[in-house]
Amino acid sequence: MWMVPTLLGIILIILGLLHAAPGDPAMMMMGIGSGGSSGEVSQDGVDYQARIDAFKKENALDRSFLVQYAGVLGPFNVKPDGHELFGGDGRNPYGGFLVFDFGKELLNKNKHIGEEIKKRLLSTTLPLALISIMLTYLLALPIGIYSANRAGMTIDKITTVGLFIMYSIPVFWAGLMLKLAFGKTGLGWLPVIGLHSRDAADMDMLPYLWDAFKHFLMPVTVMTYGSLAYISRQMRTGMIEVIHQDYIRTARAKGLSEKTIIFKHALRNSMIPVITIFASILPILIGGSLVIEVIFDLPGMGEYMFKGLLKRDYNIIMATMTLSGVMTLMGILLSDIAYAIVDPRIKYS
Amino acid sequence: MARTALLVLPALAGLGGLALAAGVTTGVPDEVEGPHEALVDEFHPNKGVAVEKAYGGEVVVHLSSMVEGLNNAVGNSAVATWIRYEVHDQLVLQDWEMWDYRPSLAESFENEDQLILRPEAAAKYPGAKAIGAGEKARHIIYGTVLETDGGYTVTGASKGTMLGKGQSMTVAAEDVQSLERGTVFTYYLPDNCKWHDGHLFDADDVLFSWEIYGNMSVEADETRFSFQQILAGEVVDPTTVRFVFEKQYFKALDVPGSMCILPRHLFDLNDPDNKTYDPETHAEFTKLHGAGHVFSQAELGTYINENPHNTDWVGLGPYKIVSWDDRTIVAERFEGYYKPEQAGYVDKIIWRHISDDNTAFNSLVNDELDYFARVKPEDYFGEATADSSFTDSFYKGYFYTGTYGFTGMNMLRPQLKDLEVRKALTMAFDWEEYKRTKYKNLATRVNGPQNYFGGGYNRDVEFLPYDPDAAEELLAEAGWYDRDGDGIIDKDGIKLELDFLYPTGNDASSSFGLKLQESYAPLGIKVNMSNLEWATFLDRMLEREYDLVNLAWVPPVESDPEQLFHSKWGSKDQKSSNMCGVMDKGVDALIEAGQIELDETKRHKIWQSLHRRIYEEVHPYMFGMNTPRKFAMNKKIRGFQSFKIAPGYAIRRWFYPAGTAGTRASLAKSAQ
Repeated sequence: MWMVPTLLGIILIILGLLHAAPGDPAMMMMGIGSGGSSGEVSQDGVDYQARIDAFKKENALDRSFLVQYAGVLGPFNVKPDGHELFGGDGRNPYGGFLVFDFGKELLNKNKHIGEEIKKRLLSTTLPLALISIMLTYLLALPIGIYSANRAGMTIDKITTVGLFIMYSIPVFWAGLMLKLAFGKTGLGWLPVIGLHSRDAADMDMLPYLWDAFKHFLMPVTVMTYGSLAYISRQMRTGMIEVIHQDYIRTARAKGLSEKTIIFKHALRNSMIPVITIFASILPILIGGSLVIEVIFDLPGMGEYMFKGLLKRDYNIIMATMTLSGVMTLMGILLSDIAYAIVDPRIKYS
Repeated sequence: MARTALLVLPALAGLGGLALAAGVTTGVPDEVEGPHEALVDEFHPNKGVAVEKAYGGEVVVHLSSMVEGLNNAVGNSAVATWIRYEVHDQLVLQDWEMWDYRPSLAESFENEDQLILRPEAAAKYPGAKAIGAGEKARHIIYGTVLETDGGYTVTGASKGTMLGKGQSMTVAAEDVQSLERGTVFTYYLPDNCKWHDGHLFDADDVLFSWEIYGNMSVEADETRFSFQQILAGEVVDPTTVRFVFEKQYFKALDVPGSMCILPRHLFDLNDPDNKTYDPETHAEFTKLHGAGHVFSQAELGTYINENPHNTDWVGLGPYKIVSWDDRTIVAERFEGYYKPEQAGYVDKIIWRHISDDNTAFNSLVNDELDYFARVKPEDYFGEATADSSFTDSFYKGYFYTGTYGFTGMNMLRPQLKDLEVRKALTMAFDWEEYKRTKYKNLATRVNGPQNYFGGGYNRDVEFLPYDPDAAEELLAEAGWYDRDGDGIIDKDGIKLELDFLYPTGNDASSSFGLKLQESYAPLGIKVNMSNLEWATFLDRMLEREYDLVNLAWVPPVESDPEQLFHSKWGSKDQKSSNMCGVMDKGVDALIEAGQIELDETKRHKIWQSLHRRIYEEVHPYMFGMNTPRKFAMNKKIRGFQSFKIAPGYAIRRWFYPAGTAGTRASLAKSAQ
């Protein structure tokens, strides 16, 4: 119920921060930025301010904060070609997030942001995120449980040290080391950039899949190891806490097998912290990781958001950050649902 | 559009960040390199071994930034210009080696003079042509103009001229308002040139490509001013087009000459051929507005701004774009290229964007790239390019363009308004030591704004000496000394404390700034490092909210210094490249004289005088170094030449030696 007002608040804050931050999309448009022209050709009466003003008017950047906020939300387009209610000429009356219109990039009117996000999500970010999440949980939960059951033993200590080392390794360093080790500078087993070879489109199914597997291996490893270490430690902590509860002692006293105790009685209750983490992992993974995308040259969401920030493209920033906000809310919702599943005592009304 | 200097991050130009033992020298461009024939395979390990050129194969060239489109009218990008060299053609091209302008798409061109008649005298000359509108309306007679005792003799030279080719007429001196030399250009086009989609190219395409700059709805803000100098254009016949400039300008030939020509049938909604090639879009308009709809300027402009062919490029060059995504632009040989003798050797060019230079270098050694021109100094001089993983397949080299780094001084600030202070800052820094330790001597100091290799650069201007004592005296003369004993010199209650502004992530700027800090401290000058992300950096710089700013320019071999130093761009409210606030009448006069001087030798003298005045009497910059571009290239590819004109190389000259798999002896694939 509170998701909608929360989302409205998130959008308001993002827009507010954008306006408060220095830098201006109009400046970038003028080409004075990003290695653009110094404009050193003779000219008469070039009125920079007039051109900046025209750009702002065209993109409704000259409107009041509230009108811009309304434009972002929709359903009315507040630009000069927008709805008559907002002084537009009515050519494109509707727009904004409510009608799923993320607009076009400010500096490249050929590019629809919605399409670009979809492309990046489907081609790069989602496949990587899904594989990484699955791998993380598939590996982290057993490691955590195993470690908890052997708490204090040598194997637990070794696991703990190993996981802490993994958790401490910076992603950019791990990525570079993997590339050096498995790229041509090392064993030469794996490609170092992208998710497909240049000629992948011409490949048959099996070679294509093999090519994709080889390309995915390093980015997925780098995306996974950090969260794997963290979640397995959470799992271990949760499990240790639960197996010291009275009801577990009772179960043991009843003579139940250790397997039954762990998987039937302890596991669900010890999952609560791990599920909580899921709420925060989802938006991070969907939002993409700039560092990983840069190291492996992947066209993902992180890079897109960063590009928007560098160019002060308000439309890109609003769309990507709002999507991240939505994903955070979705993550929280999914966590809440999962709580109810693993813990029957939790009921939502 | 006329070539423009480019503003870049110093890292692009710099070699900073590497401290090396003193005295290590690997090569300095001491010899002045003017126009010259470029060496072939200068750095190739087998450069002495003759190889036979073959056709075929592909090359993958690194792009440091991805371009949004190739239509220069709606997006002025240097990288797009470099790609257009291969996939498009322009009327006139500056020769990469000899620097003269030569017909390229145009088979030839003629340049004539323009006599502007007094309004009251126009009726006396029935042949006079009325052009322009409003304040710019005028009657002109053009041709080759000879000044005589009583006036002028005009002889028609170009095709379709009002006088008839070779015909002369006399114009009385009292009827003439002014004579503008070299302001009428007539281009003769080929009759067999086709666009990549098979449509015939003609003069209408050229005229349309200029006319769009008159439509304010076309997002051509970066380039419009250049074309607004052209007062009139006309199609003489399908293979002849003429442009008349408003006034004399030394780069006039280059304006229409380097204009990005668009296929009218794809960009003009009013072209009857448009619906043939873009039925879907045209149909949408018809559906929306009904048949017979007259397109507004806004609709025509939007159609150009958002035209899918800005990326799905249909050009005139030897290569045709076949795919374009976020990372890769692929161009393949265009079999219908009208000048097969100038077609390239390789069949496919792939431009691969990798934003991070470390990732790009790593990709190179993993065979994902064939050419990479941003090798970092630590890699160039270090183990990375000495290891067999590199040397087995690649070689390295460097070449100089006119790129130079500089530190702009904000003359609008009270701390920096005195010439003595600005000069003292230059003199208090040991540039030679910095060049030796940071640049391994692989750089040349510059002290003027023109391209170091061009004729406008003045080599007689002497560098201010490195002399901290003299710098201190200069500061004292200007009234800057430590009055309150806090270790920082001051004047009128203001301390000489300077913000050194540079873009985030730039190691070259950072190390230079730190060295400045160290050098200035003994003189009581405090430098505060201020690194900002690019958009914020620009904002601060253009708002003139800085003291020192570290950047680099990439000037063409001869540039127009107006925007950098003319006073009309110097005031605080001008968001221009004259970010230092230079407002000097002497500088203005020299710039204005140079702009209208058509004699190259005389003009170079003017630029040289300007160079001296800028350095000795204004000193808005601490001029830095002209640094080389360091590249790595696949050894299999031969034919590399470096040029002083950006990007400094020409892919269409690269080839694989005969016998390389996938190559053939002749251009035509069918001849295999």
